[in-house]
Amino acid sequence: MKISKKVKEQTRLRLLDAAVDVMSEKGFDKASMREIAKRADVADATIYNYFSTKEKLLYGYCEYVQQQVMEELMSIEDFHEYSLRDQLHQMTEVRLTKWLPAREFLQEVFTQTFAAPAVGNELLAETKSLSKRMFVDLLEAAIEAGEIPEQPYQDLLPTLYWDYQTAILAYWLKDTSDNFANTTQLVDQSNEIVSQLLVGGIVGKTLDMFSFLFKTHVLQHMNSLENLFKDPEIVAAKRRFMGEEA
Amino acid sequence: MKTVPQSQLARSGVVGSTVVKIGLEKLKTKAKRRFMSNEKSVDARAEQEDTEAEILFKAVTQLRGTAVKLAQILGMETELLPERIRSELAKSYHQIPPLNRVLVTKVLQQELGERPEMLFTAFDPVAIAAASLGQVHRAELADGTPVAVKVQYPGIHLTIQSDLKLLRKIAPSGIKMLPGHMQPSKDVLENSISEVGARLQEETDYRLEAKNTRWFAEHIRIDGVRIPRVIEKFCSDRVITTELLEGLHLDDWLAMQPSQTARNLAAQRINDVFVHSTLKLRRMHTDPNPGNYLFHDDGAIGLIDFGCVKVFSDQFIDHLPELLRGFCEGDIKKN
Repeated sequence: MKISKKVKEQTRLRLLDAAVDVMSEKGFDKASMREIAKRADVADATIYNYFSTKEKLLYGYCEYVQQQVMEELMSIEDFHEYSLRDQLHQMTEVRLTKWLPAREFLQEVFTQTFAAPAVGNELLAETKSLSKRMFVDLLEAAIEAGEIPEQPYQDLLPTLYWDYQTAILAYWLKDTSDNFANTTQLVDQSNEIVSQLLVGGIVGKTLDMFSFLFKTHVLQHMNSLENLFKDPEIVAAKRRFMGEEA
Repeated sequence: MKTVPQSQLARSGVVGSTVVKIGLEKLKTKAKRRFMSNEKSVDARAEQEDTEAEILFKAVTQLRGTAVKLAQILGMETELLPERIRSELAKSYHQIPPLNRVLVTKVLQQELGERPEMLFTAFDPVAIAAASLGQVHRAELADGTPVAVKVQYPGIHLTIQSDLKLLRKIAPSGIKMLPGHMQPSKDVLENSISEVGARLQEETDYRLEAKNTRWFAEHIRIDGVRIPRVIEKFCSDRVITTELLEGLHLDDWLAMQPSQTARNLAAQRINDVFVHSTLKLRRMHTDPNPGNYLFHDDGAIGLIDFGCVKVFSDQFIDHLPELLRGFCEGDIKKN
């Protein structure tokens, strides 16, 4: 019997939801594929057709959240009229809202990713690239509209932004204030800085300055270091040390 | 734009740097003065006051909440502060950097369960006025009624206690920056801070404000005095929606050069409200800063923001006329 695409997608989501439940309750290590399958009302063997490992379930849900963030932003009618600052702010807020029902699960994601960064990075690739595409899309629209200047090192920015988002999520996981009010403040204030950095093209300018300093000073030092080794006295001393005749 | 820096440390950073900045400005002026003639030094003094005032306003608006309230109280103390500083503080009545639409939406969603565009047929994401604990947005109900939606700054109720602790620590050194004869005593300072704290806690409860607004709308029946109707459906602990009163703020109204008759009428009405509510209703609107009065073209006045209401005991009211007479006659022993 052939299963329709729609039914397949529904099963996939049911498995992800079940994984969130089971892993939130028992932690990643103690959760078993068998139990997740059972909770999702899926046959033991079938779960492997969808997710071959527990890790894939873990990061599969991250991808699902990212997808939801994008859909939610697209559903805001006048989102394209927001300033870049407000767009980025809205994106962070929506991400937090979407993670809220699975906050304990997100904690597991963090723990696992720090325990095995290589696996995490590989399996997070899809989520990351989706997140970056959204960021680049907003950025390009803002550049086109003349809201912010052309950004040098444009490839670097989405990565930095991804790290920023991760830091916000990490802070949120530790936030015990009423209604996560502290995170709300942090997001508002840090987002202001992020947008100012973009408006001023600060990241590019900073990198330019460092590469200038590096080229003019560090590289020059390497030259003088080289000269140092050619110094006749040092060469002589080296020979003596090696037991050669002076 | 910024939200309220929340941890005590962060806020102490804001206030601390203000104190330092004012100190620096003072030094700069002192250094400059040596080279300047007398007239110039008067100008420089005025200029310095301006700069100090600007710095103060910036710090105050960054803190919102407690500091704004204190600034409002100080702003009204005409005798206590130099004019320039006072006028800068007076800005805090209704000009505070606004929250952006993302946060406004977030609060409405948290409190009323929907995004603003789902709740109202129209909602202006740009605030029309800011108050100490919130900001006001213009919106429209399904039946076309224009309304004012007041949204509380997220997290502000948590910051008040840490603010007060901070103020107690920092106010004494801040006050030393004022010229000697303007420095309030320790008791006055402590009492002001405690009173401000108690009033602020009350003001974070928008349900209470809705209740008070309803109560006054029902009981103050004076011609030419308008109190907005509360729209229950869109009220919560952190959001209050009322009918929108048109009309101008005091400064804008005065700028229109109203006639003396119009001025007298408005003053009479404000006085009527004050006397009637204190003596007859035994309840007073205790936040009489100019931002809470609106002046209409037809001479009517609008009263808004009933966040802060004091109920008097019968005994106090019975003795009030005597107390006031004693005060006017300078007879402080009579009690």
